[in-house]
Amino acid sequence: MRWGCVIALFVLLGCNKSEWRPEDRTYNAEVPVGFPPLSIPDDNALTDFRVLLGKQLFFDTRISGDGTVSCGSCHKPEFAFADNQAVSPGVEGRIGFRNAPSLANVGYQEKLFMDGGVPTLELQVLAPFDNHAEMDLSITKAIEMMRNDEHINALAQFAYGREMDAFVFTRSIAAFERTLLSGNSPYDRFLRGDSSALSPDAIAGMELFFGQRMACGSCHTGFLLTDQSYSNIGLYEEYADVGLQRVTTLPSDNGKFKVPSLRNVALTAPYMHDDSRMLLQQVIEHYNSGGKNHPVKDERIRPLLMSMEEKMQLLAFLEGLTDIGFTENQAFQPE
Amino acid sequence: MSRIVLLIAVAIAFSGCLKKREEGLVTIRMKSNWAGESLVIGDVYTNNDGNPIMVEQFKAYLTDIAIVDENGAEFPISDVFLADFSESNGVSATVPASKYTKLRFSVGVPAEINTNTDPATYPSSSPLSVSGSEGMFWTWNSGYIFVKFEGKTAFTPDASNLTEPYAFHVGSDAFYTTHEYAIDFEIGEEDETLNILFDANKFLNGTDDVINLQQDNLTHTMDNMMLANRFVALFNESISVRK
Repeated sequence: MRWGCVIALFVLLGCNKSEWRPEDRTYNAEVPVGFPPLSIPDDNALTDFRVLLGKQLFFDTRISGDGTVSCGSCHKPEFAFADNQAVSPGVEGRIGFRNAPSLANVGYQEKLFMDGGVPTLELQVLAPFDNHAEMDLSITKAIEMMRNDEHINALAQFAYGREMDAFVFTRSIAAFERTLLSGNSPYDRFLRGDSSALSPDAIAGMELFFGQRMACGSCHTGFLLTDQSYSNIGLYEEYADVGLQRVTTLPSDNGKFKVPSLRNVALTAPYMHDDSRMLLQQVIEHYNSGGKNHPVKDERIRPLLMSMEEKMQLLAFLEGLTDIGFTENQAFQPE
Repeated sequence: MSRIVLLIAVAIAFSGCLKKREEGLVTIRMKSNWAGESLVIGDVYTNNDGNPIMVEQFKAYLTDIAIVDENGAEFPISDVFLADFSESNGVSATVPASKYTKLRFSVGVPAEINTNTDPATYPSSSPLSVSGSEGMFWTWNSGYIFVKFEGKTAFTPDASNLTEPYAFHVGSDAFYTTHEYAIDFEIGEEDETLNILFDANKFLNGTDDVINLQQDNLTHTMDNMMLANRFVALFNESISVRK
């Protein structure tokens, strides 16, 4: 429906192209109540055409080596734009390096990747193309293919006033990703005054989560439920994937990974950077155990001595972070 | 006003009589050797350990290439050049007629370009663009690869079976190095060509250090900083400049 309207506008504007400016038709991003304004780069203001083009590209499988993998193949709308598989398969089913993270509210991430190696969403768009286990297609070829698509190329002109190129490709996908806002879970409704939105168990779990004894909320804090820091949570005594150390080379960063947002966490199984925990209950057990010894383990990770009831309450709270309206939002589904 | 016009007219007429050129062309060629012979990508050479070795890719960013005249004035030749040694490489510029004494250039991309850069903001004709830098930009830890040297070797002298890969991908601001070479030449009646030579054999076999590919064969810089350091030191030692 939305697509049909845009086509109509597109045709209409085609008659009067000289009056068209790429910055026209600002996209109305519905920033959830309690969220700060989105930080948008100067060269990529959100417009309807940019978001639409980005969405088209995001779900287009032609931009992969064997024509079967799109961004949306691993970042699935129904799983809050994460994947339900342990380390997503890319081209020809090749297995990747780490779990595909949820893209919910990704526009608020200060840095991308679990080791923070990429500073902007626009730059991140390039990464899967370089990767044999993901898109496995030259970014230059992918862009050329899209430029040869008349419809896509025309959309690029309306979105950015230029032909499809690397600038348009990276900007438009990033623009679409910035619109993936999720902030209407039962927890949010509870915070906004609907005391019935969370069950009594979930409310008890919330108090445990933010309480001093468990202190989950000391890292998983703020509107995203992450402080965007990097932490070694004692998952291993020796890490096969060294995490932040891969980017900084510092031994003090060994095994540190970005604290993930817990929004929609019940949808984003499996868990941990390497998908070593299939269930949320196993994640809770990990934190309850205090983890393994490691020289740079976060000192807040220590045995919690939780009762069965407390574990259930914590689980109920985490399940209260699921925003069904986000996963079912038609604006975020492939056309 | 009329005096200025007259002066210019006289000057033009005078210079025409002498037929002396006021400027000329300097060409900088980048070449790679393997122990004295031209390096051909895909050809098999013998490494100093007696084992066969083949180079599959050798690329390097050379930036701020400039020449310096006898008065110390610097004349830029090229801001950014990506040398790909699978083909011939060169860059030319017109410079004033003068006596020159130095060639200066840097290996790598300066920090102000390398930090928080976005290749998508460069036109596709630039070696820093997405297409221009393909394979020379780290997308998992944003920044340019300054030098990429990779290929295959064998751990026996059997040259028919090269299956052991090696790859040196070095970058990061710490490895940006500036080189200056004393070389006397004159731009006047004739143009001049200078050659920057990279002896690939010396990337592995230096006077103070030898990289044994059986033990040390892979660095993406941050994952093996020690080997990256050794490679860069050897690489810098391997460079020479001649006419």
